[in-house]
Amino acid sequence: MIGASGALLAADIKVGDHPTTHFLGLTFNVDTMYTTAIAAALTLGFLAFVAAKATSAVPNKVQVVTEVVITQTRAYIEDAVGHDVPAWLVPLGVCLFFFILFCNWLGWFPSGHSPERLAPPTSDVNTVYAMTFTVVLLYTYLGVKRKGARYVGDWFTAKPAIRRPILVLEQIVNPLSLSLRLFGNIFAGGIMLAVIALLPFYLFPLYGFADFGWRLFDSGLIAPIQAFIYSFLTILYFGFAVAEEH
Amino acid sequence: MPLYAALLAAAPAKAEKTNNFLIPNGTFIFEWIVFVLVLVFIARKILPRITAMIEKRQETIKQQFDDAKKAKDDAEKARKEYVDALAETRKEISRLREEANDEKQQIIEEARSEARRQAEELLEQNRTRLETERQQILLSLRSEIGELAFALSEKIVRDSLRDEERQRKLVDDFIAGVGTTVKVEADARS
Repeated sequence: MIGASGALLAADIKVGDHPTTHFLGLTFNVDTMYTTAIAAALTLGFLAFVAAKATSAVPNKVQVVTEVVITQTRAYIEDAVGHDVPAWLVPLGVCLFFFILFCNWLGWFPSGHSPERLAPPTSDVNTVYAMTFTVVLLYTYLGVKRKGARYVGDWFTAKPAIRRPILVLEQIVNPLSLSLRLFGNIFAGGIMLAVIALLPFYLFPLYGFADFGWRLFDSGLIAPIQAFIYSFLTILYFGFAVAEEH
Repeated sequence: MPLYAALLAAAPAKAEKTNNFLIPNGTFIFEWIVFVLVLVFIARKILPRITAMIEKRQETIKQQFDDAKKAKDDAEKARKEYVDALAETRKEISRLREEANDEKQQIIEEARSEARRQAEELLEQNRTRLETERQQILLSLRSEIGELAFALSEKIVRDSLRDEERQRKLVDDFIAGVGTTVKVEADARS
C-alpha cells in the first residue's frame, strides 16, 4: 500500500514542473508569465478601481480595507525607518502586499493538476526572487544613502563581536528566507492539492470536500498571511538597513 | 522505505534535466520587469489619489473638530455675556430702587419742611396781624382815653367849683388808674 502510493507520488506529482519556452538561450516558464500578467492586471485593476471610486466622504468597504492597508503600512514603516520616509517606500509595501495577495489568490481557481494551469505565480521562485531582488536593491540603496560606507562597515564593528558574522550572514539569509518562505507556503498549497487528488478511489466522496476545504484555507488564511508577512518583513529589513549602531 | 526509495530514484532524473525548482531561470527577468512596472504604476498613478483622499478626509475631520470647538467656545462666550448682562441688570435695578427710595425720602423731607415753613409763615402772619391790631387798639384806646379825659376834665372843672381840694385828688387818682390799666393790658398781650 505504502509502496503503491509512493510510486504514485513519484510518478504523478511533478514538483516545480512548468511548460517552458526558450528565447535568447534562456528558459521561460510560460504558465508563470501569464499568471503573473493576470495577477498584475488584477492588482492594478483593483487598486485603480479603488482610486477611481475613492472619496474623502464616507468610503465604501473596499476603500476602507485599502486605506487600512495603506495607513498600517505607513505606520510600520515609520516605526522601522523613522519619520523621514522616502516617498517610494509606502507604495512598495502596499504594492508588495496586494500583488502577492492577488498572486496567491489565483490558487483558488481549480485548473487541473501537474502542472496547474493557473498556479499562483508566487509558487515559482522566479517571481519571489524578482520581488526580493527589488527589495534588496532598494533597502541597500536606502542604507547606503543614510549611512554611506558605514552601511557595510557596521557589520564588522558591531558589538558584541559575535554579532559580526551573523550580520554578514544575514545579508544572504534574510533575502533568501524572505523569498523561500513565501514560495514554500504557496508551492506547498499546490502540492497539497495534488496530494488530495491522489485520494484512492474508495475515498472519492471525500475529494470534493478536501479539495474545497484546502482551497478555502489556502486562499482565506495562508494567502493574506503570507502577503502580510512578506511585506512586513520587507519593512523590517528597511529598518535594519537604516538602523544606527549604539 | 519504498516511498523514500522512490523519491531517491526520482531525484537523479530531476538532476539529469537540470530542473532544480529553487534555481531561477529566464522567467526571473520577465517577473522583475512586471513587478517593477506594477510598483511604478501604483506609486505614480494610484496611491497618490487614495492618499490624497485619506489626507482630505483627515483634514475635513480636523476642520469639523475645530468648528465644533469654536461653536462651543462661542456658546460659552454668549452664555457668559448673558450672565454678565443679567448681573448688570440686577445691579442696575437695585441701584434704581435705592435711588427711588432716596428720592422718596427727599420728597417727604421737602414736603415736611415746606409744611413746617408754611406753618411758621402762617404763625408769623398771625402774630404780625395781632400786633397790628393791638397797636390799633392801643391807638383807639388812647384817643378814647383822651376823650374820656377831656370829658372827665370837663366834669372836674365843673365840680372844682365845689371842692377844689377833693377834685384835684380825684383827677390824680383817675389818671394813675388809667395808666395802670393800659400797662397791665399791654403786658398781657405780649
